[in-house]
Amino acid sequence: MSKIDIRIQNSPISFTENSSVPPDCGAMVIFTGIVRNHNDGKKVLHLFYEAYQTMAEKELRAIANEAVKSFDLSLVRIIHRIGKLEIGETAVLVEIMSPHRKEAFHAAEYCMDQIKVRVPIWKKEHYADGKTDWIRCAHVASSQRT
Amino acid sequence: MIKVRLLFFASLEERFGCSQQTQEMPKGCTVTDLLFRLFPDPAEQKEYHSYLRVAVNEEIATFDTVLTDNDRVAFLMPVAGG
Repeated sequence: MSKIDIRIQNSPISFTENSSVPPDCGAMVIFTGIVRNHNDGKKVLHLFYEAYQTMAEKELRAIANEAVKSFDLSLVRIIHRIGKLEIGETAVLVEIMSPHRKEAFHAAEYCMDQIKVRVPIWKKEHYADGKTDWIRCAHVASSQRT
Repeated sequence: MIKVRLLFFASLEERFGCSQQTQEMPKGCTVTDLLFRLFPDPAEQKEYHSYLRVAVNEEIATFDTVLTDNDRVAFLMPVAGG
């Protein structure tokens, strides 16, 4: 069974209890990033995500591989939505399976921290006052690790 | 001369009104030369050079990278995934 599952998709992210849990897995951590209705004091109506898809998939795969090696994981699943997202929808899912919970929690945090600075995905917020804004969170960092 | 394929995303896609374009550039040109071709105004050159990153053939590159024929170049605004 592959330890890595990476998807960038337009369709809503749904997750159900995993039916094929590796026998060495003792912990599963799932993080979901959800679209909220406010940012920086402004009322948000909906978001639009755009990706440099081929490079984003490559970078997500690199992040997942690093997490598997660093934290000795059974599975890393990362799914990122693109396109229009409404308030309350899931924008990103990180699912980690590991023998122990400590590694699972740390790996989920590691993956999210890396996604936010390395993956070429951009987010446009649409506000209640009719304005829009491309949000700048971080520079794209190199995946070269020292 | 070489041909370079530019890919635009997010606000740059809106700025140039397209998701990709081809630029003919002199052999031996760098990413900086291409940036200056896209943004002829010196003030914009300085501004964009300060916060854009660049990917050449889907790998993060430096602005002094020498481009070759058929390279795919994407200038990347600060990201906001996750």
